[in-house]
Amino acid sequence: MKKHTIKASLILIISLVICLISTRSFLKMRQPEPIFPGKSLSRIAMLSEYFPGLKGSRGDTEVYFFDSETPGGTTLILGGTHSNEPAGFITAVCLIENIKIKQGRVIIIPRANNSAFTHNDPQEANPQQFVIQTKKGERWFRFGSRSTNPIDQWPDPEVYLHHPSGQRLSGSETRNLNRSYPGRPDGSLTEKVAYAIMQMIKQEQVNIGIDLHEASLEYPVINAIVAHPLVFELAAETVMNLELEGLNYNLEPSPQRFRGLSHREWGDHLGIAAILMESANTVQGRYHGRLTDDVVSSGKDRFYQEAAQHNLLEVEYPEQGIPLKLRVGRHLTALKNIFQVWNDYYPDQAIVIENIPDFQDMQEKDVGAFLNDAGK
Amino acid sequence: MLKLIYVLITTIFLVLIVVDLFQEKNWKRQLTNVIVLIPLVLRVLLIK
Repeated sequence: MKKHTIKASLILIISLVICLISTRSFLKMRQPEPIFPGKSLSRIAMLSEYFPGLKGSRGDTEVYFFDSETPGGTTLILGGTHSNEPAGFITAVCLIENIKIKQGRVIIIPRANNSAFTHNDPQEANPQQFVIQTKKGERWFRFGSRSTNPIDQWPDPEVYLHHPSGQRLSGSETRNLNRSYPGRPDGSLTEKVAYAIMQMIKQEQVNIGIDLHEASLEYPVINAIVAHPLVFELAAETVMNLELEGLNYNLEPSPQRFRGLSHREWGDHLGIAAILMESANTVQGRYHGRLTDDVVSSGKDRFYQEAAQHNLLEVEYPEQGIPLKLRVGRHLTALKNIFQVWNDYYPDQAIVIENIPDFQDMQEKDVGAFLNDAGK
Repeated sequence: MLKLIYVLITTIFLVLIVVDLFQEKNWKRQLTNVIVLIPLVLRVLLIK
């Protein structure tokens, strides 16, 4: 055999091995982590039940129903609208695995933009997953992207024209679920997901919708509750109650002219109480150093410490970082307070939820203590 | 139909690159072929 043929064969074999290894790792992103619901779960539905156009697509996602069978209100809680904001997703999982419902109904979608969980942002070297230690071992969770996977929705336009307002945004925002409400049945995959969520809110007669998010430390809307005008008073009272518990929150009105956001369109189109919550996510901003799965959980990064010393951040950044247990604890405590105030305002639409993990307990025991160890 | 055309074009490119890889005598140019080959193989493996 000629020398160059041997070289070519070797190069070809090495290339194929590289391809197979990277393909395997890439395709792993499409495998969802298991969730082990608590005993009070009534049923798991698929979002496509409310809009069949989603069936068979990666936009279809699980919807967890908790029904007390005692008349009251209905709430929808969304996690994973942005899958690179883990506190929103983990809070939803914590609720699914712990809560008991005494009155009303709770509907939870942990992976609101399911497609965004199947990839992560190119050129960011983000981890594909992170691990949480539980009582009997560890559980892994996907770290995804802010936007729908371009394999499911491509190409992006130069300019994203929001439907129906005609608002112009950067082309990549066309894959952002929280810029796509109210959505449309014949639109992009992200618009279809938004449309299906709107249909679900309508059909299930949801009274209050809460969208769980995180923000980068240099973004002004952080550690915040953003509320639609219909529910602003309730949000203000919640923020005051949270202050009394020692948790500082910024109260932000939902901007009237910024369209496509859950807290704006749910309220405007469906007349429900719409709230969005933000916690402080170290891995989301631009100042961080190398990202490992540890940083996702610990929220500790030396470059952010440096930025904090130069007053470049919108939140206090303690030496120990802003860990996941603190961010999830804040979301859970805020939810607890929202429902307390809601029940005072609307006793005929009360939603009584028990067993929401306590803030102090979570700081002492960490998030893993509140996750199920099913299967171990 | 579109998917079939896509697979066909990608396969033709792949075959041409591999044929060229075996005809090329300079190892540096053979590596250049690989730079084109790897993304194409990846794309084929990831076609839905």
